Amino acid sequence: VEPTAATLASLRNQVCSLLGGPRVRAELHQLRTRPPGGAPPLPRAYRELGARRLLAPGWPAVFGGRGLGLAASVVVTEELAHHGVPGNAHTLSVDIVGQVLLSHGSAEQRGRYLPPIARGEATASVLYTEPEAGSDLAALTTSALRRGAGWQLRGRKSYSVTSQTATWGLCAARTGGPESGVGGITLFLVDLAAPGVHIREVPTALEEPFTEVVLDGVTVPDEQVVGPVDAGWAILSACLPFERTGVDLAAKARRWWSVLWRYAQRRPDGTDQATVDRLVDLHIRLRAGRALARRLVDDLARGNTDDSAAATSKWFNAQVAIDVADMGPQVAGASGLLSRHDPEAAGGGLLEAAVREAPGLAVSAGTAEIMLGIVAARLREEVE
Amino acid sequence: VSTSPSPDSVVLIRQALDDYFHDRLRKVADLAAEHHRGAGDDDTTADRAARAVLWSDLTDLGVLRYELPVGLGGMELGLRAAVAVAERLGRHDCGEPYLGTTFALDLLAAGGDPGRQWRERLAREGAAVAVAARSDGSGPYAAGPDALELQDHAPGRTGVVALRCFVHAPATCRELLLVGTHDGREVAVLVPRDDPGVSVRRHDDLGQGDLHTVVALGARVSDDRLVLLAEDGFATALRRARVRQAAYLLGLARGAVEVALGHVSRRSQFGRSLLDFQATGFLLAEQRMRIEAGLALVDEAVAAFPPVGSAAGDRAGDDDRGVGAVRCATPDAAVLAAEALVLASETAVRATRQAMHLHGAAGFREDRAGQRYYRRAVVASVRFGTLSELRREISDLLTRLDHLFPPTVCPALAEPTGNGPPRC
Repeated sequence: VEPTAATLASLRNQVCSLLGGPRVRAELHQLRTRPPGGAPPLPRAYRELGARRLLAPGWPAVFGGRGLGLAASVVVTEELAHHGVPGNAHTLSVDIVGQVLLSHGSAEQRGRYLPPIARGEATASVLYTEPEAGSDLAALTTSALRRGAGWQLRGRKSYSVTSQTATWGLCAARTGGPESGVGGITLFLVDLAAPGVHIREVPTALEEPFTEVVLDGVTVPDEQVVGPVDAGWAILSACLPFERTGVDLAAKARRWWSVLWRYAQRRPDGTDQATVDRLVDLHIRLRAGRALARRLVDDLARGNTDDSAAATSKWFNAQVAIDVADMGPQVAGASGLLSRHDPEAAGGGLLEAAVREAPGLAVSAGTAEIMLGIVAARLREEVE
Repeated sequence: VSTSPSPDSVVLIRQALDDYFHDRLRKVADLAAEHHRGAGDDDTTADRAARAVLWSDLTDLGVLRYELPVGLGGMELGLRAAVAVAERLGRHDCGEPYLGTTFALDLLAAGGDPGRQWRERLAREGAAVAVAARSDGSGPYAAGPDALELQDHAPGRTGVVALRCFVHAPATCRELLLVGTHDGREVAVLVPRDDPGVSVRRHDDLGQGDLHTVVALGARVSDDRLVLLAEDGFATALRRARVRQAAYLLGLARGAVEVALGHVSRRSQFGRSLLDFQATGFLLAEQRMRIEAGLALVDEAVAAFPPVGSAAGDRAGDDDRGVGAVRCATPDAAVLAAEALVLASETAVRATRQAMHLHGAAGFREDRAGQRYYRRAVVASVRFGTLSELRREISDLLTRLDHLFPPTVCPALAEPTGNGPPRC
């Protein structure tokens, strides 16, 4: 049953009134102005949302949600971004790993892992990419070998985020031979505190570091294999559209745009029409991107997964976000170049952070070229 | 006949139009889309005949009844159905006289009882109508129609004097709707196309002859053909016309991309299909994605116009629910209609040009569709306002409505300066 517009509006209100309250705002401010370096810690507000069943309201009540479906998840993802809550933990734990477990996990796994994630007491990261397997993920070499009633994982996972604070990592590893390709990949839920897991932060131009995770003979019991052995690629493919809705990108870009628009509106000396025109164009594309994302989510909620539609939303929203971010210094001038550590920064440093963050949106969860390739392949199918 | 604009009825409409264009009658659309060059002359007889057949077929399919209230013999499917039609007509490059006629019917809907009666009658008779509202093409479209002169004649007859340029496809139409201001009010005068007091002259335009100058010098019509429009009648009808126009433009873009896709899949260079080159595939993929985004925004715009029979539509307080729905829309509808049109215009001009480019030199041949889609898209892109004009309208509306986008963002988060905690 799809939730009514009123139910979703009420949900949005609840999330907003928590995140918009003075205490949480002060906490988020403190997070923004924390000393440079390292990963932003999860705000207390994250658990508070969880305690109110507001982190994963789309999930069934038995797993800590409200049974409201995908449209409700979108509301939370959007509002976390609008309010500037570091959102990677939520996206990874709820929207990606949670989605994989919901759709492909065993009943036991769902009962065990989903509730603490929904409460905000546990988070999960994604361990897919390797130094030599990025866009060509099927080239991954991390191995998983049978050891009694479990598996032993060995390999190196790069460019993940939030692994240093996450409870579990959803890891794609090779259970077939070196030449097994897409047919020899299996998904494991790895306890990141287990012996043999070594996590190192890699500083980045982004708001948080990458984490490199070395799996040095980590033992994973059979109960933590997600889906059938050797079916990992099929599961990943089925879940990719959920990862590529573009909802999070659109929400981030909208926040940046709002700051720019306000700034342009309030300039005492006025803003020239050429700049206003560019902001209007971005507003138009933002709305189109959001409409694309919502259309996709509606389709996904009805059980129609279309990798081409997901690629479209992901690509379009990433391009818009990049163009919005580029406008920061154009609208705010040099003060748009200052970071959150500088009291003179325009928008509290948000504009500067956007310039660093936006280009990554055309890389994470599939590069722009991969998206173009997916749509080009669809066009080829249509003509053939 | 369904009374709710369900997705199913729109799917059926699309299917009906696809079936229509798919069979032999596709040739009619091709022929109707071709015009000879040179200003001044009317369409050739063959053009006219082809267009007449096409229009007759489309009205038989019911395209004019989709938006009309049930009480007036329509289906009350709303703008949702109209954009489905406009998009399909764009794909086959035959938007007229549908776009002009639906604009005219919306204008008449704002014209009290006489206007509504004409609306019902014209739709029932399948009459094509061209809207003639502007005396030159340079002023802002949303400022409203230009002045026209009305003269008293014999009792029951009114004379009309007006010069109108850039009128789309009047030669194909049975009626002209001369729209203008008179004594500070918006009026619309319905004049038969063959009235001896009206002359129509073709421009020689980029789109090959769809634009005409209409000169009415003392055309005399019976008083019932003079319709006073409600306040904002023109602006209201314009919003809906812009949404249809956006869908039509995206249809043109889609049609052009489909034709180009067929070409690059058949054409081989360097020993392999052009489609196998990533540069080609990515270019087409990008156009397809932009078109999808444009269509998503059109759907968003449609949603801002309440469906007929909804609470919002009924609140318009009109006994004729169809009129209520035409008048009543969310404040955002004006913004979204303009926004959808800007995005569709940019998308269509870019996509049709890129599609033409992929044909290589052959894309410029006048007997090929490549150049035709492009030229039509450029003409269509300025029909209801230039891009800079539309952007200005949007920025004014966003400022005036204090429409901070998105409305759910806590305003304090958008503080322009300062590093302090945001204040709600």
